[in-house]
Amino acid sequence: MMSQLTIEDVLMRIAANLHLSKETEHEMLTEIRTHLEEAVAEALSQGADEQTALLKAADQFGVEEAAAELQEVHTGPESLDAIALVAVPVLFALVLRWLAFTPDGSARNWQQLLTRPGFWIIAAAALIIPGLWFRHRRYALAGWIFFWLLTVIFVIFPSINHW
Amino acid sequence: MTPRDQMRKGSTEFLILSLLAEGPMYGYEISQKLEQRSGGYFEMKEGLLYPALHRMQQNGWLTSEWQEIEGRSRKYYDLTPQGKKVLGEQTSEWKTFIERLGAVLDSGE
Repeated sequence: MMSQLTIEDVLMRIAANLHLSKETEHEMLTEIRTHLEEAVAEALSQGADEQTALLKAADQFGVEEAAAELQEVHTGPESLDAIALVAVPVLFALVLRWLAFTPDGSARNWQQLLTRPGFWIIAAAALIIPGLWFRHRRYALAGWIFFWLLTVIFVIFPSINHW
Repeated sequence: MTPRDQMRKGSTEFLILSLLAEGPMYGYEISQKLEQRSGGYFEMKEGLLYPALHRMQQNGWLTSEWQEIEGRSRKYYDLTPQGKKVLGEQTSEWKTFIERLGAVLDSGE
């Protein structure tokens, strides 16, 4: 006996053609699930049986075509996000590194650094700008953590050499 | 691709903008209204509506908001001020196009 098609099966077929972030895929599949559920409900109300209703809904949806186009639409912005996730913290860490050293090349002590408005502006900008840029807040937080890691590396390593 | 497919593809965004000018709608609702109002003329795979909606949102023409209705999560789309502006421009462009096309066709009769 052939197994019955379910909405989960249709969603899995779509998901198999998507290679995006988990958040994007989850949001997309939730939206498509609603569409299929409503299409099935309507077909059922018109007298179709559940299996026929789902087959019709899946056919009208155009699973492969839609998945391919969705992948294409989201690939560009997601690649841009990935580049920004790396580039923005590096840029801010470099600016902070520049602030962390005195003109003679020695590192400022941390108390001195904390009194500089530039330090706070860069630290805040490194959080706020990615926060506005990324749709997912945890990307911004990940970028901010990466920024501090780089800052520590950028400041500590030259200081070790200087000693 | 048939001429109708080509025309449909070229007008999908305009049709979506026109429908959303009436108020926020979710994907399935948009697909049903498109089919009802065009008498099935603009029939397309319903799933192709979503890439168009997402692209338009990336362009800043639409905003979206999730709402929980009747136990289902619906993503409602609405026009942004930029989307309204684009709709105005495209409406004017389509009117001119139809007018000129009509003139060309009439002159050939």
